[in-house]
Amino acid sequence: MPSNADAAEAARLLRYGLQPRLVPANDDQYTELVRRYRVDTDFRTLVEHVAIGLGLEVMDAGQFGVVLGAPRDGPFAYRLAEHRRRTNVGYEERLLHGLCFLAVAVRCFPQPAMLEEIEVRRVSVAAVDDFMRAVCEELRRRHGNADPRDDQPELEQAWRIWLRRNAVRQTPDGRRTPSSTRGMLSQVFELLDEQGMVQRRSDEEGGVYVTRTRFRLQVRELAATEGFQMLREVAVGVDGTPSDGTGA
Amino acid sequence: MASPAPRSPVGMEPSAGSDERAATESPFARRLKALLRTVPFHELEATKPYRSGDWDAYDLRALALLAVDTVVDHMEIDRGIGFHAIVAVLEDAASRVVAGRDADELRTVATTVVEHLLNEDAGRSARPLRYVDLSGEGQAVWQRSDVRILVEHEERDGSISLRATPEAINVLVGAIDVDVASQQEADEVLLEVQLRRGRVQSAEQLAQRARLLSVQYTERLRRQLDMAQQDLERIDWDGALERELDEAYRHLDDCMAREQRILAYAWRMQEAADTTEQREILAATAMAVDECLGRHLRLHRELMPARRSLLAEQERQRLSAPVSLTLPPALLSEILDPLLCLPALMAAKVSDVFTTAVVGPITPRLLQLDALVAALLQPRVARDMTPGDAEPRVLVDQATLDQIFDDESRRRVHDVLLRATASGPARLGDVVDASRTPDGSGMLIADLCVLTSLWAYAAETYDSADGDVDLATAGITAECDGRPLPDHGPYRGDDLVLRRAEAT
Repeated sequence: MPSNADAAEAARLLRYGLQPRLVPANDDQYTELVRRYRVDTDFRTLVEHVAIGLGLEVMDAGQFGVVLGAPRDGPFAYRLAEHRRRTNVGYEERLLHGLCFLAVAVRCFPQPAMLEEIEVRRVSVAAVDDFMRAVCEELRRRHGNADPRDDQPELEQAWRIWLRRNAVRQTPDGRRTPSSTRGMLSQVFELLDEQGMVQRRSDEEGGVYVTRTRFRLQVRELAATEGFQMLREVAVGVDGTPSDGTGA
Repeated sequence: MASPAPRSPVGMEPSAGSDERAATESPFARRLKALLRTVPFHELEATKPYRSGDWDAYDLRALALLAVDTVVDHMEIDRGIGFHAIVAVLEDAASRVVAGRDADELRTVATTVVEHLLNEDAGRSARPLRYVDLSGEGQAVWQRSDVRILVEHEERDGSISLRATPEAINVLVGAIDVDVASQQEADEVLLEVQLRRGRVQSAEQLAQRARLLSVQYTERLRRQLDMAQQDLERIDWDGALERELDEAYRHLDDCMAREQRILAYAWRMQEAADTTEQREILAATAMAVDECLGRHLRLHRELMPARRSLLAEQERQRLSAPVSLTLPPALLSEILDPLLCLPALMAAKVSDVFTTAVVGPITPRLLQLDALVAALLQPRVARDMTPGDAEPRVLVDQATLDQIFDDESRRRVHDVLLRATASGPARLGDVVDASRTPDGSGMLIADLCVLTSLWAYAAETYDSADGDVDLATAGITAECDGRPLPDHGPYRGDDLVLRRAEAT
């Protein structure tokens, strides 16, 4: 039976986990709590239950800290509208924003085996954008360039939406607009940086970043699997059969 | 869509040259592979002519070797040299060869060398190099050896640093594929013998090599501990780690005892040496051995808690249910490609799920009521509005303005406005409509009409010496009757009623 002190410690470990840029090596108490989580089964179970109650999910705890997931219906889930301080964000903007995250992950870990490697990866705004354009251009080649129906914009295939956006657009005073794909990618990288998942290395190529372990774990443990599952569910709705991986 | 392939259990990482595969390789194949490890160095030099700029003066092979040397020198169990620091070292080295070159060029050269060693062009994957082992009797086949020179790691304190791979260190220790632990033992035994025989020159060489081997050994063990700590649930627990750790303890104990003996002997010899040269060589030998000893001591200290927690974890896993070991789906072929082919609305549902999962938890910002009330009740700070304190903001400079609106367009706007108001008051909305042309070329005139009318409605204070901003307002006044502008075009807000000045 866990004591009150144990419950406080479990919650404290989750509090550390909500500060993604903090690493145990720089905090003795954090180090001790991570060690306890790893070796004390009762404590581990307690932490996991406190997390569930809060609307969190513990995915990993190790030398890089506690890696948490935030289920979509919980209070900690990231919502684009809240981030933009707006009441609502249209599906097109949400899609492009999500594609940016996916594109960064694909560019860093094109093969599943790479999600197992502990090496740091380097990635830049320009490289991700060029990569996405090449992927979308290839889809244009495969699917043909027939124009979509004007009265049902939501049926337009996703690759067309990426290609329709300019890579770079500048305001008259030289600032890059956030509506261009590179502008959106810059914002996505900044958010990943705030979340302790990448580190900015230089300003070249629109911003060069290197990945942190936390990003790899977040993609491997949660995003890849959940994205894949949702894709399967959605694909069933498109053609009545599960997707076969060649697109809907 | 293919279901994810089963994830194979990840065992202990094979050590360079000491795994079973290496043991069955012919000496010919091992020497050939040692040669292959220098390929990245030669590639750099060979591709020099194809790079933009005059790179002929730089010895890129030497810079690459210096990069590996420097990385190795900084490799400790929990820290190493960072990317910017190694680039700075190479920049400095390059500047010693070519004086007076541009700093940007030096940085580009240095960065190119480091990124080539990281194999940046191929997404940092290992270089697959092919070779044929011709030592056997039968049919010879092409084989593949994966070569990596430098890699980047996140350290425990969150910093990111470079590390040389065991293959790269092999290049430095004499291009021979060796079993690190046994080679280190052999070298140190030989070093002791050489010292006793008074062969100080070869003793120093051996000491330097022992130093590199200790770095290599540390790195090997560190990678294994890292893998084990990060991927405990994927470790193939058959006692391999326990055996490795016990073996590492024994090896380190032996090494440290021997190094202390060699050190004591080297110091005694140094005191008794006849020549300065001998004394210097012995001092260098002692320093190298001392570095080995320090490194092994730190490693020994590190092993103790790691071993304790890993074994506790192992015990826990023996008692708990086995976890499913499957590879995550391929992000490109199994998620991105099919997603991009979906209709946008459905694709957004999938990308939403991916986004929430990858970003992780965001701590909600809570509104602090007391702080909000205090802020709202605070008396307004009286601002000093004395004109002239603040620099006037120049939104668009005169030169740009002149480029956009030339004299001809000003004259046309003047005509448009005077014509429109010739027979009485006119509405700005109508004037804008009238000045537009189907091909869009009238937009400029419409823009200028709006600006002119705004100026006539509420002219800003300006100094006429600043330039000709009064443009065409001379004959026009404007006032607002509260009706909005017709809702089309880029303009928003109240419509204005324009009149000729003499008519009011």
